[in-house]
Amino acid sequence: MKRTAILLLAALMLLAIGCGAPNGQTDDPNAVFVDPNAVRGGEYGELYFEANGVRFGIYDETEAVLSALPAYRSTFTGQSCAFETEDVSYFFSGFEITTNVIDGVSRVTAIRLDDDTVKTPQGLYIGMPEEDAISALPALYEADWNLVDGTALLSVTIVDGAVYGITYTPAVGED
Amino acid sequence: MKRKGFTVIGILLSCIVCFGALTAVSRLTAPKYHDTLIDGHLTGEYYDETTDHDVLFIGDCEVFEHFSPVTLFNEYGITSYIRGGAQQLAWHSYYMLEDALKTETPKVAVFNVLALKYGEPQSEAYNRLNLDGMRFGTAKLGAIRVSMTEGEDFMSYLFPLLRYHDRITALTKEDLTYWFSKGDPVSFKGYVMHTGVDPATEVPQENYDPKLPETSMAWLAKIADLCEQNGVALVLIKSPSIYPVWHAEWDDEIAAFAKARGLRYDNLIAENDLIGIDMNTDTYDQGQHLNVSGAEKLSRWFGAILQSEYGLTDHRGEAAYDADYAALTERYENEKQRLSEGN
Repeated sequence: MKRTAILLLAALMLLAIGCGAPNGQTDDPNAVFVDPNAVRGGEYGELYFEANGVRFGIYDETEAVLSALPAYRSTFTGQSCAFETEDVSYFFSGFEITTNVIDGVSRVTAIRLDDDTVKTPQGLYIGMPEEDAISALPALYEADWNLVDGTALLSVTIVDGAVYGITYTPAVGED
Repeated sequence: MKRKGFTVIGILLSCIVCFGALTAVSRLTAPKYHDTLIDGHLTGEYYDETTDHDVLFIGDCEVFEHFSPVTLFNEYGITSYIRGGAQQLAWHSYYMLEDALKTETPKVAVFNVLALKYGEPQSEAYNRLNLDGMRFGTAKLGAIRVSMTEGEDFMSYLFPLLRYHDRITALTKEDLTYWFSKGDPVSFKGYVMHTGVDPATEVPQENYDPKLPETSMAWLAKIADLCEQNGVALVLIKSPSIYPVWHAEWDDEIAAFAKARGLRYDNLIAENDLIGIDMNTDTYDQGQHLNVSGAEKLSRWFGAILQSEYGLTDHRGEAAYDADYAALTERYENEKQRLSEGN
C-alpha cells in the first residue's frame, strides 16, 4: 500500500513539475519577453537617422543619444493597463524617438519623422514624390517600402504617390 | 479479503492526499493579483456580487478606470458592474458577457470599442490576467481556446500548476497571505481607482491600418448577436482618452456597424467639453486614462443618458441595494482619501 501511495504521489508530482513552460515562454508570464540576442546597438548599417550632427539608430542607448541631442520639447510615457511600461517617447522639432528598457538598459526602439522640416540622411522627407524617394535609396529599395539593414527596419508609407510617413523600428527576425 | 479492502482504502486515501497536496501547491504558486498586478483580480471579484445589475460594462481599461458604479448608483440609482480587464480583447469581452449572462440579464451592456483595433491575441500575460480568475464553464473554455498565443498550452489554464510551478522558488509575502483567501476586493464593482494627476501633452504618432481587423469586427457582431438573443440593449462607446489614438476611419466603421445593427454608438472623445473632462486635471497618465475625478464626471454624464434612453429603474430606496452601495460608498470614499494623501 505504501508503495502504491508513493508511486501515485510521484506520478502526480512529475505530471505537475515535469512540465515546464512551453518553448518561447518566459517562466513568469507576467514578464515582458525580450530576446537580448536580437538587441545590438549601432548595427543598423545605412538605416540611421541624423539630427543636429548626431548620428543614431535602432537599439542605441537612450542616454547617449539624448545627451548628444539638443533638449527635447516634451516627453510621453506609454502606460499599459496592468504593467508599468518603460515606453517613453521624446519629442524634438520635426521628429520623435521612442525608447524601451531592454535587459535593464533603455534603448531607442523607434524613430519617426513628424513633418517636412527634417530629412533622412538619404534625403527622404515627408511629402517627397515616390519616384524621387526610390532613386534616393537605390541600394536598399527592392520593390517595397520596408527596407532592412542589420537590426533596423525603415518603413516608408506612400499615399497618393508621395511619402506620407517615415519610421525606423527594429527589424524583427533579422540578423 | 480484509487486506484487499485495506489496499483499496489506502489507494483512495493516497489519491485524496495527493489531490489535496497538489491543490495546495497550485494555489500557492498561482499569482494572487492582490497587491501587485491587481488587474488580474478583477475577473474573479465579479463572482462575489450579491445583487444583480441593470448595466454591465465590458471592455478594457477604458471601462474599468473610466466609469464609477458608485457614482452611477448615488446619482441615478443605476446598478452596474464593470466586467473589464487589462487589454481585454473583443473575444475576452464576448466570453465575459456570456459568462455573466448565465447568472443575470442586465438591461444594458456597454462595450468600449478601443480593443477592436486588435485582431489577434497579443500576449499570454494579459490572457492570464483576464482568464485566471474566470469560473470554470463553457465560457472559460471558449475564451481560453480563442485567446491563446503561439506556444501556449490549453491545459495550463485549467491546471495552473503546469504553468506556475516555477514560482515555488520565487514566492512572496503576497503568495502566503492570499494562499487560501482572495482578500479584500481591489475594485469597486469592477472600477479601479486612481487619484493622481498628470496632464496630457503630446502623444506619439503611429502607423495604422485604416480598416479595423475583420476578426475583431466579427467578435463585435457576435457580441451584438448575444445581446439580441438575450434581450440586452447593446451600447457602443469610445471612452474619452487621447492615446492610444482612435482614428477617424475606425470611428466611421463603428458608426456604420452601429447604424446597420440599430445600435447606439457614442464617441465620447468628442464630448469632452460637454462632459466637463479637462485633460489637464482629469487624467493620471497624460490623457491615456481618467483619474477618479474624470471617471465621476463621465459617469454622471453617461448615467443621464442611460437613465433617459433606457428607462433604467432608480433602485435607491430598495433595502438590498441601499445596504450594498452604502458599504461600497464608504470603502470608495476611504480609498479616495487614502490615495489622495499618498499623491
